[in-house]
Amino acid sequence: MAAPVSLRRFDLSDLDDFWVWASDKHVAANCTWDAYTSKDDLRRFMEENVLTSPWFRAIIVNGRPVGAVSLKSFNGADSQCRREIGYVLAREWWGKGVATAAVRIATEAAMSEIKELERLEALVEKGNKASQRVLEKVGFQREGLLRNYCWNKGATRDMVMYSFIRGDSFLI
Amino acid sequence: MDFGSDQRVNRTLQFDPFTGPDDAVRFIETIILPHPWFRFICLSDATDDRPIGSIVLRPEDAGGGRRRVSIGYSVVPELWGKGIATVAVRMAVAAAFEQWPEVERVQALVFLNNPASQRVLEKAGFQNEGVLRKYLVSKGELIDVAIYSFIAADCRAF
Repeated sequence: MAAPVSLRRFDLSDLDDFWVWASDKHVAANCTWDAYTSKDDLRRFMEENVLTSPWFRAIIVNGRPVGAVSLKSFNGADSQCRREIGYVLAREWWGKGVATAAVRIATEAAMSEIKELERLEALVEKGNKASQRVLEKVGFQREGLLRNYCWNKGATRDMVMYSFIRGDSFLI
Repeated sequence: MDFGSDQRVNRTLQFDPFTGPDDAVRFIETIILPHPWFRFICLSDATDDRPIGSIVLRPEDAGGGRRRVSIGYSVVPELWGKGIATVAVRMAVAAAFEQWPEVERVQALVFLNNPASQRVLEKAGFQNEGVLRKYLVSKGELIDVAIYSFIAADCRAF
């Protein structure tokens, strides 16, 4: 059975663990950011974005951060019912059900903590089947393929849109 | 004032109807004038050039770029069902790709309870990509929307 997964807030003392996945080109290839090459840059990112974010949590396995889950809000009075979930995992922990457990915990926590939240959505690149399976195993619904939706690393990307609506059932 | 104050038009938009000229002036000052791309729709064979609708293009990129652009439109109810919005949408899409060479995608969100507007997009060559559940709050209600897109490759096919 896989090791238990939990979430907690980040602290600056997590910098070295954060560095493991943030500096990994294979991990960054699937994300909208480029792999970090400077720990100072990463520390600045943690100080300015991670620690100040309303919802940015460490994925904890065996007492150490092995990845992160975060929620993004949208501008506009009509969009306060919506958050976008993003997640990243160190390569060593891929294929063990960790991201699936983390997304399930995060979804339940978000619905419980954010009263106006009605819709949690996620956008995954068309070619990233592993990440799509994470969402499907949790119980997210695939809503459609959005063509040329994002620009990332010099190319336009087709993205698959998934959502979990308050009241949907978890599959795990 | 005409289409801005009509309940039938505003039912499927995210604005409240105008209740008086002050609302219209405020709308012009705060929404129309600063807008990156706002156009009135007029009939070219009319005796006057009064607006009978409007159409907007909105850049949607996170960094303020124009690779992804949203389109929105409205027409006075008396002139519904004549293909006016379809022509306006085609013209606006062509303008977007011409003026902004970096555009990759023009998209539109339509309330599910607005099939006429969905037909406008289909006739203008947009693809229906799916339904986004409980995507927006409009006038106090959670709304499902259909998402449509017209991408650069569709220009050549259309």
